[in-house]
Amino acid sequence: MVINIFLILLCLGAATIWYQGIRFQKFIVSAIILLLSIILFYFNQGLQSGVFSQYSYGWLTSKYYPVSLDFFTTKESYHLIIPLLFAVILCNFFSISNQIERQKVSVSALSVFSVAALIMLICGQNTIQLLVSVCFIDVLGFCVINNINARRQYIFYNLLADLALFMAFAILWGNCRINSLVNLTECHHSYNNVAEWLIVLSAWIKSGLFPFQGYFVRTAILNDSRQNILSFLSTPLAGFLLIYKVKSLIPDDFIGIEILKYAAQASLVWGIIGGIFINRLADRKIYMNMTFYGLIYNVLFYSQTLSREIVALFLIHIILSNLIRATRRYATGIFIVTFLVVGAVVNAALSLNNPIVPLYLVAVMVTLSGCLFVLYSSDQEENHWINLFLAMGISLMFLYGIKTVPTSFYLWMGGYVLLNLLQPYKLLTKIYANQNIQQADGFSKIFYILFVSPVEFLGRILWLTIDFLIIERTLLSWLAKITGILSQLFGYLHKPTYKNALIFTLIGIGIILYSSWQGK
Amino acid sequence: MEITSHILLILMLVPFFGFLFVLMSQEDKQKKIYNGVAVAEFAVCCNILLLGKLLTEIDLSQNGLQFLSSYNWLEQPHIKISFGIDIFSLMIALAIHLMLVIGLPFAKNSQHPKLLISLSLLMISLLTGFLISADIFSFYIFFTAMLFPLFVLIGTVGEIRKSSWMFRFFIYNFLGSIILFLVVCTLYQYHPQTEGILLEQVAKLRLPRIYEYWIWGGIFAALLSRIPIWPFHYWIASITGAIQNPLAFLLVNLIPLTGVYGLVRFCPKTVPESVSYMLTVLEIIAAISMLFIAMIGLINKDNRYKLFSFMTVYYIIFLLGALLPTNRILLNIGYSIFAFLIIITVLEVLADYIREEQQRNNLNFYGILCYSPRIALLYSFFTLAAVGFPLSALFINNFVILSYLFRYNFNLGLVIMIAIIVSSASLLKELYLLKDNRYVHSDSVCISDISRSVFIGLSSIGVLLLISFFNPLLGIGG
Repeated sequence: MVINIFLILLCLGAATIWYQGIRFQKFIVSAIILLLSIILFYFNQGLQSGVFSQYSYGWLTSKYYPVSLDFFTTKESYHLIIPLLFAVILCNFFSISNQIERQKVSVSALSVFSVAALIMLICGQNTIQLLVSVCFIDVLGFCVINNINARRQYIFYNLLADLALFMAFAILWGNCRINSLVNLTECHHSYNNVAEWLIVLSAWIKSGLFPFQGYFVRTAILNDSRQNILSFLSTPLAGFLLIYKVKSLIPDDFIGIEILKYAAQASLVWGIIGGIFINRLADRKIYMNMTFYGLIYNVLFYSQTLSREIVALFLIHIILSNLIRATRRYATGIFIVTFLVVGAVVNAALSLNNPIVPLYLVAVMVTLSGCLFVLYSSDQEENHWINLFLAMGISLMFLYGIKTVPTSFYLWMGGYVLLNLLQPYKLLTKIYANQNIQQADGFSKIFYILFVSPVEFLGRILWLTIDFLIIERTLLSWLAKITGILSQLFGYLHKPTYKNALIFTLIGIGIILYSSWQGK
Repeated sequence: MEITSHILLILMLVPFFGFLFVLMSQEDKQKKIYNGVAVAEFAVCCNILLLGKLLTEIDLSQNGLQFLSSYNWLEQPHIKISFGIDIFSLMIALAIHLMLVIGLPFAKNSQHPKLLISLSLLMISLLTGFLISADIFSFYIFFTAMLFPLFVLIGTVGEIRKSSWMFRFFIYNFLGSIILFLVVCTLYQYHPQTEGILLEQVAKLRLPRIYEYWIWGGIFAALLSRIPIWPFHYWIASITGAIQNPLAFLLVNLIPLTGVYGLVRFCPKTVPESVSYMLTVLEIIAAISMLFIAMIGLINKDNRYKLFSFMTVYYIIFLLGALLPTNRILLNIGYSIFAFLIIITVLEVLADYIREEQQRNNLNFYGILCYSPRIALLYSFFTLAAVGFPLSALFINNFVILSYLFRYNFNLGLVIMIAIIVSSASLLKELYLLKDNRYVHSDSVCISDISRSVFIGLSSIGVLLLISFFNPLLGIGG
């Protein structure tokens, strides 16, 4: 089942990515949405009918390192893939109305490819499959970003994360000779600890958790269509799924996980602070995403399973974060689609016999109605209804996470909602309105000072001392002087004088005598 | 059967005849030696077909050289030379030929196209001879002989302006050859075998301790003279950084590969116990060199130097992988080198095009790719493939090599990873400087993009690489 979906998505992406025309873009994207909806329906039917299967493709048939690509259709894979299909439909739907995006079809194809790569990650049963899918997602993310500055930061961060993951899995494979995730739990080696640290670091960077949010924040410069793919179907989600997949390999008391928990909580805080103080709407959306990822990491760590709440939260978050940027012109359409999607999610959840879902449905409907009301009737500045939207979004997160998130989160979120609604920070707002503060990129600077500069400094010192001072100025000049002295000496000896002739003759006789003595 | 027994000799002779043909042909100024390029392409493609035939016939389950053939060279002293090939040398030979196929069309832009093409063919002929040599005599002959076209290439086509650099480079490489010559003489003196001493037998020879020191020390010194090993990297770095022609650059950068290949061929994993400490010293020097060159590559602003440092880092990784006490990853190293050389070739060809356009239009180097979507796309793709994203066979094969390196020496693996990160960052930094639109103004002149045919040609190489990712063992297995 999953393999069929995977192949269909690959074909769909391959067939549409080449389209560069301007005409019929909306039509083609709509067709893609329709096809994705059919796939979703078909896939959901599979879940309802209990169709489970196991498909493995022997990718590398080497006797030393056999690698298979696994596409197991299990209950877990259904639960993870269905929301992804929802998400890609939503992202494409919002892309149709995007006026700025000129290459809607290509972007849509990239989103489809991203989902295929995420499916590969979700179904991965071995480290190589995880590594390959994560790297593919990065390359697709790289293609999605069409701004040079955002792309630069993205690729440097992710290169670091990928090489960390590469190294972690190379250590595990080198020491244990196992790449199966199930069997790796039985392998205990002194260097496994290093591998665990590297995996945590990789997921940390990929998900853009504090303090690695730099590349994530930079994507604010992209238009909505591309930003949606990057936020919901690309690297940050891959980082989260990576940790989810390898969690069984990492001991519960591992300090790296503890640190990651703190990083996730710090992301929550930082996201909230950014959401409050950053004026630009696109930046706020990114900070909201950061809050979201901080939250779901915590939900995962505290609940130990990927609960349906997270899945629902994921979809709701996509909708809300897009709503806050939607113009009034499309509000009705967006509202209707949101209503339908939320209904579908709830239905899907209901079919899984989750009793709490009807309550969520009510909450969602009330919130969305409130949003729509504000959107149409409010005469306030744009900033206020945006704040309201953010507050609504966060409260929804709060509502969904209530079962699993500890009390400390309630305080943060409650605080955030209150701050947004009451706005007691006028003075701070003025300070933060300062252009320099708004544009400050402290973390990039810290990153540069701490990591890049020392390497560059060391390289320059080495070049100066070894290449220039020792080799060029000392060794070579010494050689040149020696050569000069020798050439002077030989030049002197070659002068046509009797003394020189005598010296040469003596040397010749000496060589003859030595050779004959050796010969005896 | 007859053809198969002489196929290795034919492999060497085909480019040699091509060299003679191009050398004797008339230079047509208007057509820009079109014939020479065609002959060279034909000769190289013939060899690729022959290598393809060998690829289908080679037995992977068999260790050691295959298709062995011997020829009497001298009667007194009686010296026989032998040729043989295994999958490792076959993959390298194939990659070098493909490298030439990609690079040859760009030879037309050189100041001396005829000389460049003819010397490239001679170099390929000698390199093929080096790769298929099975005994110490043929190994030494080709090891030294390839210096001749190399020096002429550097001196004429490479347009090296500083004679002191040439001098140093020559002395350094020539010293290596002399040391190897003395080693070969010593070996012959102690084992004047009628069938000649095969390379793999050297490690098994029983010699007095002092001779073991001399022979193995000499072998290491001679072969390391070809690799930019710290602190002597400067001899090679200064030359490669200054060469003006892409094909000459690529051919000169094959020299370190010959050093790596030589060390692999002598099988130092079975060196006598008395000299095994030399391997440890070699590993340490290699690790230092790697880090050092990667860091200098990062701070150096010259595009060629960055590529050189990147190549050196990877050559040393391949060397360290090959020195591990296992034969299992030799195939992976071969596959990896195959993809690596192709990626580097395309990157150098593109970089050279950019440099030429920059000089012709007197433009700023930064942001030069902003209005050239075709080059930008290709340059990005090949850079990403080079730095380790899953876009070529390099990805999975490097994974296997590194996993073995981590297994045998964790600290060494760590140093290698740091060097990889630094050299990859250096390449990426270069890419983004080329694409940085902050330096581009709307009224500034921009370079002309590559032609559609070149774009299609280079894209098809990209597709080939992508296929090699999905089939990293290149359909042969391992």
